[in-house]
Amino acid sequence: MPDVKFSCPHCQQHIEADAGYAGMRINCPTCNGGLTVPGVAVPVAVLAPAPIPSLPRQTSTPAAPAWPSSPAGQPGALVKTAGRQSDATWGTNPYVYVGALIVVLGILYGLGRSHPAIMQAFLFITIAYIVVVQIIVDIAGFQESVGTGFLTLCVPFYAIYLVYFVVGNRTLKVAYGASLLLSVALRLPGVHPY
Amino acid sequence: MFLQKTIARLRSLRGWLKEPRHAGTRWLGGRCAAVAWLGLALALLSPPQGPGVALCWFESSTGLPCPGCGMTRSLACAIRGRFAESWQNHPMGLIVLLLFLLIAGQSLLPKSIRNRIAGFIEAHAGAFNATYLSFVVAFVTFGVLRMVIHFGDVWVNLR
Repeated sequence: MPDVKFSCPHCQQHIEADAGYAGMRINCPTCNGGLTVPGVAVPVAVLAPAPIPSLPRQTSTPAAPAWPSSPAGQPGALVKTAGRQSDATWGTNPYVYVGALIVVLGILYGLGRSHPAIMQAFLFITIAYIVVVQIIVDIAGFQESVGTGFLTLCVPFYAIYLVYFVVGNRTLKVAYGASLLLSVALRLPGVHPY
Repeated sequence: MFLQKTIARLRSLRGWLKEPRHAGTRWLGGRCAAVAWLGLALALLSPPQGPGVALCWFESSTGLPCPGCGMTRSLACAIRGRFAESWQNHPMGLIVLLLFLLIAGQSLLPKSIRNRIAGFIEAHAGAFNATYLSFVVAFVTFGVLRMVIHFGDVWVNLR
């Protein structure tokens, strides 16, 4: 049967399911939030004689061990997709937003070299962005344990390891990468007033 | 849509609070013990007035203190009994010192006792997870408030 591709309304994880799941209530394999598979539900009478909707296609990661409300105890029929450009709209792609921010900051910096007020705006936005991303990363560290939280807080290299090898959230990876770049940029001579 | 998302997040938070899995390792895991010993060693070895050099990359980049800035000085003061100075450097220093002492102390106990402690924490996961959440929220809230206050100074200097 053809696949249904959709996103979790809670965490925006891309999910791919067999069309036999259309209209069924399931839990997201990532955030465990409840959602309904889009599409028109096939009547039970039609489904009954047919074989069970085609099962697991492990494209990337193994399925979560237990999905309480997945239909008829068939974990693995839903597949987290990588969320690549091909099946994702640009609106869900973090590179678009972070790229736009970098471009805006670049323009502000360029203009700010001759206009102090614009330079202030550049610094304000840059510092605010770094602060927000850093706090999110700190919270991600504390989600693991007290020790991880303090390591994330005090050891920048551990924070990098956490974001890129432990957490696995693409948006956070992109946002933190930009934050690190901006932190380095702020330390270049003549950029920051301190 | 936003309301639905908020409700879903609150539900998942409620589920997390009752989740016994990882409740023990969140407080007393191997990494926590390593960090606690490291923190205690730093508190003992570093001078209470600080090394005199800005070690925080966040502060040197942005001019703002990160939520953990002042913690080493606070721990160094607290471990020497200078509690007022500890409070001034970081209000959560005393709590963190107590936490580090508990975590480091339990890591010296025999494994059977440590397993019993972890079992106790997992049996009372709701209370321990709620305490953990309160600790993290307090820590981050303090850090954010201090950043906002310092941001005012940075902004004045920029102008």
